[in-house]
Amino acid sequence: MTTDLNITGHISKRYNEELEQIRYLVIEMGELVIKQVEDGLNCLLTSNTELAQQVIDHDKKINQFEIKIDEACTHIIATRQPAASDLRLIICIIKTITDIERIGDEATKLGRNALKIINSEQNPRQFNELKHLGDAVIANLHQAMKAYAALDIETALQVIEQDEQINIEFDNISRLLITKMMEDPREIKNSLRITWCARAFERIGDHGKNICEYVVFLVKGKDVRHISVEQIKQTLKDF
Amino acid sequence: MTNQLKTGQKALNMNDSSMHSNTDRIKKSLKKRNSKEKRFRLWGRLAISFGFLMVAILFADIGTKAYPAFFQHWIKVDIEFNRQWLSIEPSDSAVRPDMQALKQANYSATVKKSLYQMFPSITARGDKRDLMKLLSYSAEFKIEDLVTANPDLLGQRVSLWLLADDDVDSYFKSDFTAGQSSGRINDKQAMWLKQLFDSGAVEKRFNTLFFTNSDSREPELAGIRGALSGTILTMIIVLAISFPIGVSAALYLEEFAPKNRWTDMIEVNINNLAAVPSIVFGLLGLAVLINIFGLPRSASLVGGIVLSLMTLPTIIIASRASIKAVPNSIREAAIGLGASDMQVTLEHVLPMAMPGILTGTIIGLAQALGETAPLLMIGMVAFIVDVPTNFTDAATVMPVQIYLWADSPESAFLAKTSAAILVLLAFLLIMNFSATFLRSKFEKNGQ
Amino acid sequence: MTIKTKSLTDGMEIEHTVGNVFADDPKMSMRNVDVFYNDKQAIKNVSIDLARNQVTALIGPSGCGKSTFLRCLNRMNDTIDICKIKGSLLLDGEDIYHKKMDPVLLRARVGMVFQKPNPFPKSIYDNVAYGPRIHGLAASKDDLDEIVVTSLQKAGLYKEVKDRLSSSGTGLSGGQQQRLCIARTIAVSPEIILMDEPASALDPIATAIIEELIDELKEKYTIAIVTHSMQQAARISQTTAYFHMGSLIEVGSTDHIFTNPSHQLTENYITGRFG
Repeated sequence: MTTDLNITGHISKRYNEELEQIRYLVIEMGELVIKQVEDGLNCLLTSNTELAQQVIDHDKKINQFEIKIDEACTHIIATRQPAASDLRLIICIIKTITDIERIGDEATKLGRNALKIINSEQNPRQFNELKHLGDAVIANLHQAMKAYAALDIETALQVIEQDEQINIEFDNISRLLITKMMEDPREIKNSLRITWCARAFERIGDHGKNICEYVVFLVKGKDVRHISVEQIKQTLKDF
Repeated sequence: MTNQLKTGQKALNMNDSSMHSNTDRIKKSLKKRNSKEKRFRLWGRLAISFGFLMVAILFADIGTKAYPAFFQHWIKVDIEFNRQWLSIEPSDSAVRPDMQALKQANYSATVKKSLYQMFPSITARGDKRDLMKLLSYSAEFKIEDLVTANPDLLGQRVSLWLLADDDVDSYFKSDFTAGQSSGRINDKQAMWLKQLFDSGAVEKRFNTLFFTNSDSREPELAGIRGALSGTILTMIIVLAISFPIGVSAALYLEEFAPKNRWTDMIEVNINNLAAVPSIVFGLLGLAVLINIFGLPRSASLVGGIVLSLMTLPTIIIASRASIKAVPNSIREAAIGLGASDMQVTLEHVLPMAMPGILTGTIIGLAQALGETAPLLMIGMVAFIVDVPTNFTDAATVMPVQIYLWADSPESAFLAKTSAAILVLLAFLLIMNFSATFLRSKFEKNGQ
Repeated sequence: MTIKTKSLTDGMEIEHTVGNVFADDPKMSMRNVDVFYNDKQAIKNVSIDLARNQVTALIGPSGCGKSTFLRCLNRMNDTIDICKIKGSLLLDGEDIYHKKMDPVLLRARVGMVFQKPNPFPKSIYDNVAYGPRIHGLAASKDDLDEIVVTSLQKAGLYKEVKDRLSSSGTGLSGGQQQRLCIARTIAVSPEIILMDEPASALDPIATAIIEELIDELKEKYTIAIVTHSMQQAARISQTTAYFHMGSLIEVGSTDHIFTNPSHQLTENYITGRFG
């Protein structure tokens, strides 16, 4: 499935530039947040306090991005009264940056939990499972941003499908951790923190999926939220 | 970096200097253009002043020439209604003469003898004739009127103001020296007039006869009433024929007629008709109206019809232009409401076009008002003494009257000609004012 | 008067047009309409329904034929000799170009408001009363008074002019003049009101008042509006039709057209791209 969406081509060149600028900012913001998530995972795996602190500090940058892009979108709505694909693009961007900002918040949670786990002096052995989940989420996030940048429905659908896997992975980790906690009650505190981290990854995955749904809406004009992958595929085929 | 900056500045300076030179060039050409414009305006003012000057000269000339025509000199004569002079039988004062006798009485002799009484020193026949020439020959008619109206005057002696002859009139109006001959007045006549003048028996009065009399061979009796009536009757015919026909033709051509070769041809022909020499219409009138239809010659009816033909193209062209100028949005508004074509035309287009149509009509009427050539062919250029009272009476019109008077040898007719021109111009002015009045009324209604 | 009614869709193919041209409850339905000016085809095979009590907006670039099409709906084009119309145009199932259909009656049923406010150079009262007068809609002077007042009220103009009904209609402001024209149209109680860019000569506030008025009027009338302002079409219409070079490119609900048009040409036009 290739996209026939054309962001540029307006009679007003300035309008083209403004739209391109916003899209570029969102991609930049997305790259930054992926970096945050990667750092969050790394600081957990390597017990790196400094990195964890850095993740927490860098969240401000993402918040600033959100404000900046919001302003630009408001400006375009006020001055250009976008319609059709332009309107969908602006709405998609506004929603996307909210999700990206939430991903940033989840990354901060990873950092905080990392700090707490490192300070508890217990050696967490479950990090391998967490690494697996984290890598999958990060890969998905990369794909989501790629789908957004290229307005690629194919990739977006893959991301939405992949999210199911991530949810299953998260369930597995939860089950594992519950077993651990029942076996050894001393582990409960730590295991809970790990659960929270896993939960954060699972949320990040969801946000990535949301972004992909927005991309589908942007390109195809169909709202594919809150329905299953099969239904999405069916809707797009009908179209 | 600094190099780049410098070149950049250089480029900027160059741009600046070129801009300056452009401004200079524009300034230079501006001077030329301004002086050209000034010259053009000056020309315009000169042209307008020249036009005004010419009109002023024309009016001053006509006015000064016409002024004397509005006044006449009257001479006081003691008339004795002597039965013998009047040759009324019987001469017995006790018997009242009947109407028949009064009609047949010799008033001319009465006037003569009364006049001789005033100048008893005159005995020579030639002198007596010269003396008689001082009075207009209308004097006898005047005393006849008096006597028939009041037979009791018989045998009495009454002082009457009688109209002076046109030669006397001209003499008094001219730059004369009392008692000396001038123009057609000889020395003796001048002496008698001096006597009369000194005794207060000569008076200058406003010339009412000019407006109440018709044409006459005697300049002091000639008036414009006949021509004016003829003009009014003719104009009524022209208006009654050309206005409805012209307006309906224009309305049909603009609003209803399909645009095809036929209507194009009609349009071209109407335009050509406006350029046809007016005498051709006169020929048409003669050939068709008088010879074929047998309408009376010299009648204002025929004149009116002929002039209508001449006026029609003007009215049609002006009306069409005025109808075309009605904004289409008004037509659309009415059509959009479900008005029929007829309603659109009569209730919206016509009222809005009316001011322009009226202007065109007035122009056409003014044209007809000044026309003599076509009337020549239908016998309206004639000496007509009677005032026409209906459309089939023999009549003449103002411009024809002016033409006839201008042709007359008597010097007194010169002033009459100018006076008649003034009256014609006044007639035109009245027509124009009434059109302006109607126009403003329609425009007010239209808003 | 019996006019042969036709089934709406029998044997007719809708070509080119994207979207659903059929309305559930059409007031007017046009099928395969072609309009020619001499040999030049101004409208090419257009089929569309006007849904009852809805506002249908016709949009498109200049010269796309939308005004021409609108003028066919009450036979305003009859006045143009070189204009020939083919196809079927049905008003409640009656063919409006049938030879038994009197255009005067049709125009009383299908009123029109024009781009430039064009009140008659008469008093406000006479402007509104003109239609009822020529059609003999009022039995008495009181009837006529009532028609005038209600029409002015419906057009939202009554409060502003009630003290000067006898003053000239041309003395009003542009927006008031346009509302006077709407009142004049309403006074004939038409079933359909056609509007040809009714707000293009007005300032934004007068435009907003007219738009609000159109929104209220759709309760009683079926409205078709030609507009150059896409925002206006988006604000007031329920159905939007996009014309391009004499063809009807796309018809759809206004929401659909303005968020996700199906045809690339529509998309390009409403987003301001090169056509």
